[in-house]
Amino acid sequence: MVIAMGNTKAGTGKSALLLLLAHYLCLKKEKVFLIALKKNGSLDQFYERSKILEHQLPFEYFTCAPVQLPLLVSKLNEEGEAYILVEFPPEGYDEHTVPLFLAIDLLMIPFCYDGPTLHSSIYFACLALRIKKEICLLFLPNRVMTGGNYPFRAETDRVLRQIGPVSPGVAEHIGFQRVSSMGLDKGLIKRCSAVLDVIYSNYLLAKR
Amino acid sequence: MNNWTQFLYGLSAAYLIYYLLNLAFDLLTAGKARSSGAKGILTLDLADLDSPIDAALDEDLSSFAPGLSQDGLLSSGPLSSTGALKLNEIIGGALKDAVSFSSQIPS
Repeated sequence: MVIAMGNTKAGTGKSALLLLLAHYLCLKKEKVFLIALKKNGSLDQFYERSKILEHQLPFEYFTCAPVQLPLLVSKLNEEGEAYILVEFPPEGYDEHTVPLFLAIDLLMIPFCYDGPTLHSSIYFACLALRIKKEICLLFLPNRVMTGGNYPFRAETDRVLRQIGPVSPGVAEHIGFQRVSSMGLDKGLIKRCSAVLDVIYSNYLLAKR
Repeated sequence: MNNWTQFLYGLSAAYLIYYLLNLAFDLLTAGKARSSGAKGILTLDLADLDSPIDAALDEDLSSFAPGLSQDGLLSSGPLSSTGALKLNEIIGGALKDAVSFSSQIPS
């Protein structure tokens, strides 16, 4: 199953959330491949740091050019049943990147309940739907402040649900800001496990 | 003892042996490089992943052209098309959709 995490706005937490999902799936004894489509992006930097720190990663990491993703996915699918997690770049969408949307089974769109990321998330979802009408989308609220006041959260969720399902939100935690390599603190995974359990059972296992 | 003909024969023979040895050495090192590779490391050469054009005549054309013979036709695999939509049109449509959704959220 190919799961992509993307948004046209940078800084919505794609890399950290994808890393979190990769570690969570490995804890569930799933085979995981992690792919970054942007050279020298956050995941690349985390990987370089992990290499220096000699982390034993439970998944394999690749970087490839966007146009080569369908080929890489078809090759990795030959390795058996696995979750292939892909980080989409925030920019550079042109005719050559259209096949990216055709190669994935689920597109997760992380967003925050503030104006700029919300509008870019809606636009990205609409773009994906225009390219692939039957694409499976999942909006993933990120950096939700516990006890925070979001005046139009219910209205926002109602509008987003017209486009695709909205998962429970990932709470803001200092641990995310401290992520600097591919090795992730087990406490952080445990803290987010309730949300990840819902995503895993409702959207990953169900669509397998 | 020695004349120019003998000298030229000797020189040609030396060159021939030299080039044969060079060729043999190249073939030997190329074979070694192909067979060696770290075990346990998954290495994917994306250039090798491009599937070659399938020139086999496996397309069944009889369904849409009953009288047409497949002899002499080449196939490059199943047809695929973008539906002739330009990316600008897709982006424009997505922007319109996004505005219609975003306008429903109070600010």
